[in-house]
Amino acid sequence: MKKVLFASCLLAFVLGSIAQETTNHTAATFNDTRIVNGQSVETNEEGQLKFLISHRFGLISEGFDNFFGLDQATIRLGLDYGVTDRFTVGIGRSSFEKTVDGFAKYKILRQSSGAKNTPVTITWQSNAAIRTADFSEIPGVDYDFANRMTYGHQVMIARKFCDEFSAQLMPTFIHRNLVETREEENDLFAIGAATRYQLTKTISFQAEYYYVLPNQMADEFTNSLSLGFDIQTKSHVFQLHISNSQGMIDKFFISETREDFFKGDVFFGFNFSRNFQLKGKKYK
Amino acid sequence: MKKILTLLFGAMLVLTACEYKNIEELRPIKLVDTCTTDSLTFQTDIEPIFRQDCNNSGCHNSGSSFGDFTSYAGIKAKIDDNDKIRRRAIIEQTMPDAAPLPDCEIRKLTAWLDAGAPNN
Repeated sequence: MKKVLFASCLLAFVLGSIAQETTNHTAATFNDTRIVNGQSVETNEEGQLKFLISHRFGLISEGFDNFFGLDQATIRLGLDYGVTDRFTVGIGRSSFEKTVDGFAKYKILRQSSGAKNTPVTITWQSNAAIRTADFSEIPGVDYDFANRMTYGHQVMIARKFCDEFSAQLMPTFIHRNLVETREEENDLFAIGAATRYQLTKTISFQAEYYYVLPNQMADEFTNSLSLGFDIQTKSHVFQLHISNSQGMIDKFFISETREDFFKGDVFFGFNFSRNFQLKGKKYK
Repeated sequence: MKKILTLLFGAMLVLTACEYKNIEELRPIKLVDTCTTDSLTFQTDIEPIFRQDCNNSGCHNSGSSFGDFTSYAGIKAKIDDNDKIRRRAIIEQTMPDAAPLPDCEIRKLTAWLDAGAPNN
């Protein structure tokens, strides 16, 4: 199996090198604009509106009493719109801390072969999030609006090695206007890594890990690890996964993950997206 | 449409305020202050600080040339020597070697020294 895979990768690479006359841009490095919690290099097509429903249930380790976490859920509803084929903007609202978030994403470089050979796809993503839930009241502490804000910037560098396999690296910066303790840094640097392995024509396996550089978070927090499957249909993508993070935006899963994946403290979750073509050809 | 969206998101990302705050520092007062500095005695309040933080082997233990803090007499001798205990442990906070004394111990020591370092 490995040999076949290696041969097909090699063949794709060789064929790509031979076909010199036109530039072929690589499509579908990832199947969706999200890998599990984080973003992928993919952007919406121009005029495409994506409605995203994401759920994370409670801890599976809570057992039958809480029906393996299914009794409690956090949700994020999102709308992403492709302004151009390379530029997408989006808004969303998470039930966790009643947070509203927005992002802008631009595909700087597209992996291609042929006349123009580009080894990777690079996408930039910037986001901001506003906590709209009240803070817990501490006598003598006044919060102002800026305390509610968090910002994030991310570069995603991905390569589709062959039809079956893609990998992505994502250096990430997060700025939190307000943290809990003095020990925590307001500015946080992390590096993420993710991969996709296509199992069948419609099903793929995804893994995503974010490593936060040391001495930036309080001891109770840890790195985020997520594993999942994508199931593709014509206009939907279902993503089913387990993760030790319950939050679905950068500031939650990169800087506020508390659970230990390897102790079995994981959340089951899914993302479900539906695309609507608002401009251009409705059915392609 | 494109321009409006671009401007809107550009403005959101650029024009928002950046702050560097944490809740600990927003808190103006210590809510529960369990550190008492009233009616201290050497035997119950001060001697344990020296025993725990200063009298270890190789430091200010019995017969040490740096000053013997195992007895009131040894401690008093250091205080009388240019108020060295206050200077090193409270003002400069260079003693103990490993890390400064905890906040409450510093406050207790200060109160005791201010009261004239009584042997009570």
